[in-house]
Amino acid sequence: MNGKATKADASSTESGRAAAARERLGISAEEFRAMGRMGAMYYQQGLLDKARTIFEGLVEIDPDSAAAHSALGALHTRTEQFDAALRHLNRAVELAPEQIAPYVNRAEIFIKQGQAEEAVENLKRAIALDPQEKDPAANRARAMALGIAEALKARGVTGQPKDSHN
Amino acid sequence: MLGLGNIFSGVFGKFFDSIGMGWMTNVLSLTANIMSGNWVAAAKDVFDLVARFSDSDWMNRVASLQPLGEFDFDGCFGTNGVLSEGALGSWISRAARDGDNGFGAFFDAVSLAQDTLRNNTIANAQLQYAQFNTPA
Repeated sequence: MNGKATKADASSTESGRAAAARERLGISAEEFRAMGRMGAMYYQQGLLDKARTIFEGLVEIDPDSAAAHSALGALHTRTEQFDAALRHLNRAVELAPEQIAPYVNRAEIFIKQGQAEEAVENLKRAIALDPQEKDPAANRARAMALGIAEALKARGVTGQPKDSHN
Repeated sequence: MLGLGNIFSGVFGKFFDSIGMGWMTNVLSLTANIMSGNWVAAAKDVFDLVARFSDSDWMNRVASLQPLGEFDFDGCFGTNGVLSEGALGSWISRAARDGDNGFGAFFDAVSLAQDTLRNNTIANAQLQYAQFNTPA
C-alpha cells in the first residue's frame, strides 16, 4: 500500500511538473489542440511515424491530457502495438471517462485478443455515450457489435441461456 | 444456416470493407474463436446491444480509422493562424532557456510542426501562383 502511494505520488509530481512546463512554455489549450490536429492530419494520411512524433510530444509535455493519450492510444491500436495502446487508452479513460474513442479502441483490441467480456463492456460504454447514433466513433463500436452478433447468429447462437451450455 | 464465410463475403463483408474494418472478417471467421465459451457467454449482451439500434442510418457515419478522440476533425487541415513558426520557435527558446532537457519527444514534435507549417506555406504560395497564372 505504501509502495503504491509512493509510486502514485511520484507520478503525480511528474505530471504536475510537466503540466507546469506546458504553462511555462506558454502553450495555450488552443495551440495544443492545433498541434493535435496536425498529428491527426498525418494520421489520416497514413503517415504514422509523423503522427506518432506529434502525439508523443504532446503526451510528454502534458501527461494529464486525455486527448493526447487517446490519440496515441488510437495510433498504437492501428499499428497493433496493443500493450502500449492499452496503457494510453486506460490513462485516457482515467482522465476523461466521457470520451468515446478510447472505449472503441479498447474494444477493438479486446476483440482481436478474443477477450469477449472486456470487448463487450467497452462497446457498451462507447455506444451509451452516443444515444443519438451520430458519433462516427460510437458508430464504429456499433459496427463491431453488429459484426459479432452476425457471426454468432451464423453459428446458431441466439443469446438464450441454453447457448452457454453448448 | 449461413456460414461465416457467406456472411462476411456478402453484404456485411462489403460493409466492413467500406468502413476499413475488413479485419472483422479475419477475427470472427478465420480464427474461429467466435464459438469459444467466452463469446457465447457474452452473446446475450451483444444481441441486447444490437437490438437497441434504432435504424441503419448510423451505418453511413462510421469512423473508418481507429478514432483519435478530441483531435479528430472533418475536412481539410488548417491551423487558422493558431500555430505559427514564431510561436513554435518561442516554445523551443523558452524550454532551452529554462533548461528543460527532459522533453526530447516534445522538441521532435515541435520541429516536425515547424517543417509542416513551412511546407504548408510553400504549398499555399504555389497554389496562389498557379491560380493567378492560369490562362482564362
